[in-house]
Amino acid sequence: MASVQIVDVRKDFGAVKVVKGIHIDIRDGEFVALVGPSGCGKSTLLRMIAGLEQISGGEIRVGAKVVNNVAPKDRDIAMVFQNYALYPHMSVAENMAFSLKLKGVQRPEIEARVKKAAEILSLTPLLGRYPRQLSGGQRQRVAMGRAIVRDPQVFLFDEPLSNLDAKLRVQMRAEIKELYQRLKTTTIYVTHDQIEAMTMADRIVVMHDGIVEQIGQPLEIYDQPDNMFVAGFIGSPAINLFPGFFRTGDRAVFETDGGMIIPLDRAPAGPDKRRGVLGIRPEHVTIDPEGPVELAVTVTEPTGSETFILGRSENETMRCLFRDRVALKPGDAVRLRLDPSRILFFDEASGRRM
Amino acid sequence: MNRSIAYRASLLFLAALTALWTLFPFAWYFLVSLTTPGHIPRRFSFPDVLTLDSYASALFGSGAKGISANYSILPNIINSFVVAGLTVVGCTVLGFGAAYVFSRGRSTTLNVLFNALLVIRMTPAVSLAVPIYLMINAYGLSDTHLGLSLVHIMLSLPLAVWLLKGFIDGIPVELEEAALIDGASVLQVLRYIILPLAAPGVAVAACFVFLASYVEFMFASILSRGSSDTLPIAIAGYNSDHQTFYNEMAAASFMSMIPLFVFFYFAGRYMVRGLTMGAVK
Repeated sequence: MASVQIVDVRKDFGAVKVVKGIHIDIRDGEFVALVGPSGCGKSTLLRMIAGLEQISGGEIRVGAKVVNNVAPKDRDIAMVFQNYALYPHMSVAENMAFSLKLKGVQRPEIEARVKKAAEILSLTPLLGRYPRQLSGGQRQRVAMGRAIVRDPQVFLFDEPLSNLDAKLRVQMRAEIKELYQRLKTTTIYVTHDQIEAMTMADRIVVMHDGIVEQIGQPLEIYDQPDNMFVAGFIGSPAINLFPGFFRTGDRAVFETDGGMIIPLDRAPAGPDKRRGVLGIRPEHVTIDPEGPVELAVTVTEPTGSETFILGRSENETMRCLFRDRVALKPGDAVRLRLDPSRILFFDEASGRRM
Repeated sequence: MNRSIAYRASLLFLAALTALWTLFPFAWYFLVSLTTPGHIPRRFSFPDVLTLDSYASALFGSGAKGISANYSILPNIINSFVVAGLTVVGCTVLGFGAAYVFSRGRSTTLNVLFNALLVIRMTPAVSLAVPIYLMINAYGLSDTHLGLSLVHIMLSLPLAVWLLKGFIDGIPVELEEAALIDGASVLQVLRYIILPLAAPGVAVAACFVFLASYVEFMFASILSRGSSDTLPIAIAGYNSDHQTFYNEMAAASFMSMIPLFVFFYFAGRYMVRGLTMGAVK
């Protein structure tokens, strides 16, 4: 196991800057998720850590060693690819043994290590099969088996679950997490799925447009997003963001550009009519006959465990999520209260949280 | 109903006619090969006696003096196999390496080079006759297996590269990356990952290259002086200034086809699979 330090790492493809100076300090044995929308540079960063992409600037350290110019094979890193990248002409056992064979490990030891990894991943009955004879989940497990037989310093996962169906994804998510709990190997996990990041990682790195937007523990990032991008990216259904202005007076309120008036119990210091963006997560809205906001329901999506409501209030669209079953149907009107302690404010120009 | 039978009969007739048109020369030639040596076939006729004498004569040089050619094509068969074998080895080894570079490389220069390779292949071979003759002579390689193989490699390499590149293009780059992370060097990636996966492509390329070398006539005739004559030269040799040994020529021609039939019979299924694999990945 080893720590991984990413110091001011940059990557340019010609004139295009894909990664623009990233600092991340990953502790020994930590599970870190790199999350962000497509094209944010997260996969490129992972490939640079793996040694599959040259670094245009900065430094990557695995343990104490700077690996900028170290070949992938000498980095002591294992990687699980999005499409598994299993060798189609080798059996499951051969796939898992390949790295040990290249290293010149003796045959009895190879067999013992493959057997052990196969047991951990319940692959023992499949050792003689070829990748084409396996299901998606089994292939995924073989890819992980190939990574763990080597007992590497660091595991890299590049969107490993995105080729699986929803049910299998949840199952494999748990398996990866369990594997991590067992091995406690430093893990860097790239995903565009914020649920995966939230549920699996010790810390999340939210990336956007080649920079790090925020690094933090999952709930810290969820509850205290540094900026509007992080607030909008993390959380599903997405946070409600209303541009508007603060009105000071007897009682502080926020008036959205769409005309919705939201009472506040605190407001950032500043002059009357100061502009800003108010953010409230859908589950921080409650139904209250005395509530200050009236919503005209347009869409209801009951999922059994919760109910999602989309509606209009004045000229704003608002998303609400209720843990209880609510008997609302399109066309109904309902009064809502926004939990004042959960309201977030962002600067309109910079997007930073106020 | 009747019309339908007539329709089908006429289709069958057309098919038979086409087959006859194509196969008649072969059939006639085959009969010539089964005729007594020295018999000159003026027109199509079914011989009174069918004999393998012409085959024996061509194979062992055992024909009667005066009416038969007195040389054996056995050395020429060996020459052909040696030259085609060297050509196959050269084309697949060089072609595989080059195809890998052309497949994985990302540069304009490589694109230009790759297209140049194909364009060169389109020039008529005869335009290369003089420079190649001079070059091979200058290095003392005329009338050697190696000299002719080098020329055949030059002629077939573009095809081999083009075919193999198609196959390698179909192998996902992630497999290589996985192998690199697993601890493989670039050569080990080629040996353990790319080569086994491109094997059907290598087989297809080898087949085409072998065939091209085996039947090549022009350069073989320019560059050989007797000791490295390949089969096509030996077959043509039955037509001398003084006499043409039709029966031996026919027998030798048919014998020269045997290795190809055997080869393609066994390689055929593999090749078809290989060709389609390259096409649809």
